[in-house]
Amino acid sequence: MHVIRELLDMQIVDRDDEHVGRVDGIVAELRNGEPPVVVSLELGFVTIARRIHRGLEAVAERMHKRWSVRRSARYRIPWSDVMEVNTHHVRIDVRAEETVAFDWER
Amino acid sequence: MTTRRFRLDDLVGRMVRDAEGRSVGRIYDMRAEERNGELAIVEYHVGSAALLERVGLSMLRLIGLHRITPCKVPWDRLDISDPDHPVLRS
Repeated sequence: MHVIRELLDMQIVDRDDEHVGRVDGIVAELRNGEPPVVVSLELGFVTIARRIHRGLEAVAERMHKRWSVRRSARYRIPWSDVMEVNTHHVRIDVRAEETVAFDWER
Repeated sequence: MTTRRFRLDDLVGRMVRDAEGRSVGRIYDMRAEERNGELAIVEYHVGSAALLERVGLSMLRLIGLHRITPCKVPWDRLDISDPDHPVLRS
């Protein structure tokens, strides 16, 4: 799998095909003497802001604290919850309604 | 075992330099494989060919190229302990 081409910015759906959001960031773990491993996918406005410019991350964090209805600025999906990655989406073993991504809907 | 977390998307576009500080190319993609239930990064794709590879084959055909091979750097040859300044190990 090409991680950036095939995973980053991909649509995420839950087990019932409900849209959760997009893969805004990918968190990996560096271990001594072993290849880095993907540990989680990250969603959220703050993550996108960081990709545009590092300085925007702090601005986005402040905006989140002041106005956001979401419980957290970032939502991390552990790689162990990823069921499938195909050319259309990333399917996760979580119900979209239970995620932070759905706080806007409540 | 010491572990440290970082963002893979932070690596994208970073210039890789060799031990003498010479530019090798920028990281545009990386290939991963499933190993023991984990997704392990096995190689980094570096240089303009890697960027063209990311753009896709249809775009390459448009500019008259049918096949390009990016510079593939195995995971153990790239020191990413500082993700902002990846260094090619000799």
